[in-house]
Amino acid sequence: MLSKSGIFSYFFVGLIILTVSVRFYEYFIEKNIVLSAYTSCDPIREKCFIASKEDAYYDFQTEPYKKIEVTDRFAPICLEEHTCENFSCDNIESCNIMYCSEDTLEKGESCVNDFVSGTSESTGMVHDQ
Amino acid sequence: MLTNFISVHYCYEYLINQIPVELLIYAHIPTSLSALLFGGYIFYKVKDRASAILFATCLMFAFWCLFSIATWFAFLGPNSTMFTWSLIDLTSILIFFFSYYFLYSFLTSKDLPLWQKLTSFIIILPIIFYTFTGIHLPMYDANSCEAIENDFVTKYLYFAEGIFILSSIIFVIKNYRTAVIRNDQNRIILTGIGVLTFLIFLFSATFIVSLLAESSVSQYAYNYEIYGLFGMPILLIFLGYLIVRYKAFDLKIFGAQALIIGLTVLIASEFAFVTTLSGKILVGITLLIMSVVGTILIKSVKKEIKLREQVEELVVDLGKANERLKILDVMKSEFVSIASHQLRSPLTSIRGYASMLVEGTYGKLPEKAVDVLKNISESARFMAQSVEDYLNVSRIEAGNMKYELSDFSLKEQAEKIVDEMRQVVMKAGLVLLFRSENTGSMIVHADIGKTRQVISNIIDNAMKYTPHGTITVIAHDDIKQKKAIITIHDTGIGMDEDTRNGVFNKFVRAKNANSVNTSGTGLGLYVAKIMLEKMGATVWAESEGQGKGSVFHIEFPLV
Repeated sequence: MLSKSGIFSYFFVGLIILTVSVRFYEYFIEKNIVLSAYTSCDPIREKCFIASKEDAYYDFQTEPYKKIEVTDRFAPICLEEHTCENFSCDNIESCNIMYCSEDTLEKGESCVNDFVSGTSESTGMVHDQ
Repeated sequence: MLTNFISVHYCYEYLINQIPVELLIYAHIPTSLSALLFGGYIFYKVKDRASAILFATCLMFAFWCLFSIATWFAFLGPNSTMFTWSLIDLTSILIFFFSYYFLYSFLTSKDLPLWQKLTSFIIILPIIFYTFTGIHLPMYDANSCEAIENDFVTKYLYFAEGIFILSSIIFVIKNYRTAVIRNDQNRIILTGIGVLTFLIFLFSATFIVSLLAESSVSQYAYNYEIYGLFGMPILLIFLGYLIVRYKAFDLKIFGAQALIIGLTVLIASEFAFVTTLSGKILVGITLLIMSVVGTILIKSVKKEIKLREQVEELVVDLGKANERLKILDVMKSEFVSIASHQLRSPLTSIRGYASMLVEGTYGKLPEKAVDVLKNISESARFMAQSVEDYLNVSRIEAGNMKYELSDFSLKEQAEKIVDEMRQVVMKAGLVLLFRSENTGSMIVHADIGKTRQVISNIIDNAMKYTPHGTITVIAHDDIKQKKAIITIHDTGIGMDEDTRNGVFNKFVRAKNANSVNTSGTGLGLYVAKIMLEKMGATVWAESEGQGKGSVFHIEFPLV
């Protein structure tokens, strides 16, 4: 007959194992990870972010870029490798592109001047010009 | 080797620009392996609660290192990074919980009370919850190959860890105050410092890192996290010291063993830095030599320790036996002294009254009665002599024999004794003669009383063992050798070689002694020899064999 302490210990260990199993399932099986990546941006057609050399956190921020949020399951490898050219969310589920605006600017960033179309592509969100 | 596992080349490039991979491996692998080996070994040897919890702590630490290094190796892919990152907080809080649990168990030898376990569970529960739901890691940043953390839940982790650190501090202080024995206090302090150093190192590194990462002061804020791992070797050193010095876990590991193991681990960890084949071979050879030499050294030291322990045990046993013997010796001497004194008084009465009866003090007695009384008197005299002998032996062996040394003429004393004993010897049907052949005055420095006693004893002995004939006492000297000698020559039963060799030993009588004299304790000559030696003199016996008489020589140095 187990003591209270024994029951508690087994319950505790069981909960830990369950937690680990759930995380494993989420990340390795479902691949339910929201990926955030910066990718190259065409300043003629899109409103792009840019940062100066002094303010840039990453080297590629000195070139025009846009911000992508997409579920890893659907993300192309070029996003992780930062080799995507003309990336769009077409035919990609749970994909969101953030273009440069006053609302979306972060510290050290600025918008590239020659923005033309002012629309954003997304499956759920629209960014105003 | 790592290049075989690269899924995301961008992250691999990012990593090698951020931190030397060798430093990562050196910080994570040897420390976690050392912890696992240490905890595993202790648990394997001891198998009690404290060792099991220590092993759990080391295991959680090893998992933490594994998850930590996996998060660094983001080139394995975002799913690997997110999975291992998501479990770091849970593993971290379990390290803190098990460390506190170990501290409690180790110092009190008791299980943590259920209420404390439940309280700890309540503290840990939010962390289990957010790990289960994944809300603490909302996103993966593919730009820096890191998970983006929810600040609020991260702050809760530090709060929870802080509670365990504070609990540990309070527990150590409380236990230190209640400990009475100095040894226990030292154990508490050392264990407390070891565990708290480990926890504070781990806490500080991760806390400071998160502050740096939040403030974006440094792109490579997480680099500083690896320094938190070096708290574990510090804990292992403290535990090692406790084992060697205070026999913690009841383990018998000595300093040399701990040192060799530590050195072996250090050398093995060199593999983390060595990249060339020749370097790896050299490190391997060094490790092999170290292992062999270390094993030989440990065996040799173990042997010495075992021998020393055996000697120490023997010394203790010897000490106890010596104490018992001393007590027994005192008891024996006391018994002999008391018994002898108790015996002497009645004997004196017996002799006194017997003598008075023989002399007719209480009226004339029949001749037969007088003969009987004379026998009684003689037996009492012999018994008194025996008691005196036993007393002397007792005094000699207890070191209580006192000697009053003075200068006197040995020849004069010997002559006096002969004069005093002549009548008694004549009554025994023997002739007692004195002859002096000295050239000098024969002045010696000794105890007069005891010298007279010895000479009397030997003449008395000669009388006992000479059925008929003469006893001659000769005083002579050797001026050149500076010796004064008294020789007592008898025409008695003589001695064979065995008897001559043992006649001055305790309780030894000649084999043929009973044919002429049934009484005798065998102590007279032993006492005589000891007393003479104490006065700087010597005594020895000569005889040409049984039936050919004996010669006793007493030799004193001249003054």
